[in-house]
Amino acid sequence: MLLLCVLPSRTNHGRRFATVTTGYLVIDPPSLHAITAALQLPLLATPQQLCALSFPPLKRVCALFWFFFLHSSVRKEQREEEDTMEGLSYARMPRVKIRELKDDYAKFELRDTDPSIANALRRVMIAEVPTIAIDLVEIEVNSSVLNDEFIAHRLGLIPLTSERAMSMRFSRDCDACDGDGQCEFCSVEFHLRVKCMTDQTLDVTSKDLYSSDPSVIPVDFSDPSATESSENRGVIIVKLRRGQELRLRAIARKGIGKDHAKWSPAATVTFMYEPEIHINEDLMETLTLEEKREWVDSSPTRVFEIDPVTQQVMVVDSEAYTYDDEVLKKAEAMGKPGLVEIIARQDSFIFTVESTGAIKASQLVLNAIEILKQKLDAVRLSEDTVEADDQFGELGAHMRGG
Amino acid sequence: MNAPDRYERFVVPEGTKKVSYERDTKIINAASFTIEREEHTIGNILRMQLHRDPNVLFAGYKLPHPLQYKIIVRIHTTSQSSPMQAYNQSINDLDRELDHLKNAFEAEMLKFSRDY
Repeated sequence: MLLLCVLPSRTNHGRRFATVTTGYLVIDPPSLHAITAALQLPLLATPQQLCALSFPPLKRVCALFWFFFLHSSVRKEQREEEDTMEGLSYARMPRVKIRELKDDYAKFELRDTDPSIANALRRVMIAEVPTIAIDLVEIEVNSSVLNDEFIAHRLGLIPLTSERAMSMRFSRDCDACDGDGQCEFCSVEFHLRVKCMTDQTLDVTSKDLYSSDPSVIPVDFSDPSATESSENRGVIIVKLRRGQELRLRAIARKGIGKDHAKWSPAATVTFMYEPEIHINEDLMETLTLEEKREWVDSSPTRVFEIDPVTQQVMVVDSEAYTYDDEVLKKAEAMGKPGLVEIIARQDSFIFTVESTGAIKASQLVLNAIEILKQKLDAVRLSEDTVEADDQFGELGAHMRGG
Repeated sequence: MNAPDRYERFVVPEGTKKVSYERDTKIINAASFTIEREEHTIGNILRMQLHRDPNVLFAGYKLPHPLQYKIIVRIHTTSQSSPMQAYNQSINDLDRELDHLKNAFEAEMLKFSRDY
């Protein structure tokens, strides 16, 4: 008999068993239901009841239960899981090294992975990490020189602090509000009311927007090190002269850059292959100092330098190389092909991430990984896709070679 | 006026499956997977991951048309495997890689904030 310990644990990417520990099987309530239903075994209590039973919380044991039949099927699942864990896995183990990290900027090295992963990360950071941006504007009064649409568009482009975005709902799949997308789960309301009463032109800026949610506010670009700079007044929306007025209500919603660039959290995301530069020292020594200098100067960026003591050419900054091929062409023109060999390493990347301020650059990277994981999860073959295959019946089994 | 909704690019329409597949009628162990509302991001990482599997004889993806928001991934495997198995495994492996990447990045962030 097997002692079964049931935990209401998180499903690990739809896999049935969250964790298999020695002697105990940890499952979540829905899979428990599925197992007992499949084996036609009576459940001693509903999963919810089992979860509610009070047992020592320290051990995280919610319920204990016996099942003889389960033993074999469980062991089988366990074996299958182990099979894919060892030997049969082609997963890579990428390494990361952060070089620079600021709120809105990150530079890091990514090694031991494929360009496809680097590019997928870049694409996701630009177009699929959600943020919050103004999406609906109701204008009450607008006597400014800009028309309503112009102002609505400008409002949309103002970056809003979006730490909340990952846990927020898209208004299109929010069921709390009846489709109008104006509830607290999927939207944030802003108000703006400004009127110019003086002869001096009044700047209406993002600081004049009043948010219903203190965690979602226009991004503050002012330099924290600069003291008492009343100069910085946020992003200018419109300028008003005496008597002109702007009064509006705006709804900000969660969205992604693929929908509209205003939702993109990334200002720029780039990656470059790490260059590997090998100088052919023997060939280099056949050059005179004058020729060396000429060759070194042929590079538009400062990649090489001549050692003042030994007069040898050395690489000072390999990453300054822009894959422009100028030094290669120069070597060829000098009649010394193969003077230098430059390889773009396809498994090492140098990423630079600049954020708009909506989320921190480091968080942007982490969110991108999370989103990519979610996307992969969504494209798994589900139970019903397998059923669609079963319609082939014996023919299908035959074709599978079974 | 009759512009299609913008969200059509990334919301799977009702009654359509996110993933479906069709076996090749002439070649054994070959199948085409149609993935709705995905593009190069998923297509390319899947393809490259499938290439790491020695049982995969062919793996490729295409975006048939820029206004048809779907990709088609075609997989041909040896008899030791099947397209579905290879497909599932590539997703599992990518998932594991991203898990690792996430942990590595978080650990590095911690280290970085300590050091500087």
